Amino acid sequence: MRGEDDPEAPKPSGAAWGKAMRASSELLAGIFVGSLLGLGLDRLLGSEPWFLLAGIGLGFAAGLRNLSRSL
Amino acid sequence: MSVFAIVTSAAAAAAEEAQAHAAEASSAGLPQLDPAWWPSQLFWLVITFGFLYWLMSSRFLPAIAGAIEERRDRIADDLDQAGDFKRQAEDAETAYNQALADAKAKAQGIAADTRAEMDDEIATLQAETDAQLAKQVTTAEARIGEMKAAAATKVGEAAAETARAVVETLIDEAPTEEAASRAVTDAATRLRG
Amino acid sequence: MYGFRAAGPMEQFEILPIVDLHLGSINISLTNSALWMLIGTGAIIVFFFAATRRAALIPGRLQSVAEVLYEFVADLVRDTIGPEGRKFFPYVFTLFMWILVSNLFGLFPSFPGIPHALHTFTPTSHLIVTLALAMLTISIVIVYGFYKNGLGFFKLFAPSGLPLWLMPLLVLIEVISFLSRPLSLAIRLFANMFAGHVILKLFAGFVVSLLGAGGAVMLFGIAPFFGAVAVTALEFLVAALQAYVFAVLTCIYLNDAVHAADH
Repeated sequence: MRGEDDPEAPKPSGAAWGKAMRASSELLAGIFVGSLLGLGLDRLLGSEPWFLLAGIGLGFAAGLRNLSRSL
Repeated sequence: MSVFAIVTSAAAAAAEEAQAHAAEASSAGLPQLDPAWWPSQLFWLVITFGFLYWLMSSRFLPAIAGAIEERRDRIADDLDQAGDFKRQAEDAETAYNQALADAKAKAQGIAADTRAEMDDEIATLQAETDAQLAKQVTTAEARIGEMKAAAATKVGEAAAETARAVVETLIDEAPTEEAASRAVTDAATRLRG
Repeated sequence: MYGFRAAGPMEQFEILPIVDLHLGSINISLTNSALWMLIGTGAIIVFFFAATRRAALIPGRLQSVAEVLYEFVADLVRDTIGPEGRKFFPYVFTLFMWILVSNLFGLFPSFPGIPHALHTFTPTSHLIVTLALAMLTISIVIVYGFYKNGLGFFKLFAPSGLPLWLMPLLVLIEVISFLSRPLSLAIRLFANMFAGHVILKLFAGFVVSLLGAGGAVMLFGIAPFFGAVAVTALEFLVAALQAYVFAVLTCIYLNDAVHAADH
């Protein structure tokens, strides 16, 4: 089952799928937002690609932060 | 064997087809990633979601909340009323118990009074009867005493008479009555002593 | 080669125009996606209209269902946000119903033979839709957060009890984390709907291929057929669960806006 908030998932493989889905979506979202902010700052300041790189790193950290909060 | 071959080939064909479609889709890009249709989707999302929100917040949800609220109030009212009834019933029960206790106490009082009265009466009767009986006993005892005394006198007289007769027979001389009776009395005294 | 062909697993996500509409240069055509948004919303409206037409003391069947849904979401909002969550209840309820119906309707099979543009469609299987819903929530959180807490809203981004020199870095991470949470939510809803429909389509395609092969081989279509049935049942569960998850996480997120200053 892919419902990650379900307390009694019938199959362990389903629960694993849910966790994987959750982890990947958190990391993806973090990196996406981070790189978007970085890209925006780069555009604004003409500093490609430094803010983008920093954004990706911070985004990854933020994704991990969300992941640790949710688990 | 042939069936197995057909199945595997069919499965392979299905998988192939799926792959072909996937490849086709990825070559064309996922439909989700085609920005051409984003404005239309957002537009209709806003229209439908907004309209639904408006209807929900202004009409449906208040109606449901009203129905639930009304039922809750009604149930609360009914509970209050039931509570009143219960309280009334309890009051009635208390009054009934009180009356019952009073009646019991009264009945007990009456019973005690009656018993005391009867006890008095019985005691009086007893006393009267006792007195009467005692009088009768005394009378009877007196009579018995008299009869005893009379009997004793008669026995003495008879003994004296007998003694006189015996003496007369033995010595052919009759003692006086006085002497005979004195002798009997002496003999009786000696025998007793 | 086959008697009838199964559509490809990605075809079901294609957006097809039904009525061309333009607002200036913006294409706002009525598409299959829009059609199923309208059908879903229409169904919700018809249902609630029927359920609340006569608000009875002793509820009928429809009214009971409506009240169960109401209490379900009301409890969720109350438990997550507290009494202040009352003002967000219509929003969360609308969100839950809209997503639930969108998720569910797309699972029904289409009538065979009708034009592709009229096939059942799941609006929530498109990222742009789930993203828009997530963005709506984030906007509400930010606007209400500042309105309610003023600058105290920033406390949300300042973790306490950490060395000062780490602060700028952590605040940045917290801001990105805050912004990426609804995005993650959107990705998850979209991915669940997307993956579910792809798997369903693959199973169905497999069944059709085996049946199309004819003869004794058709018997081998039975296993994937039951597979397809099981996956469909699972998808219904997932559809409801994902609507619930979206509502829950929206509430948790809104709770941040209400109680930001308490952190």
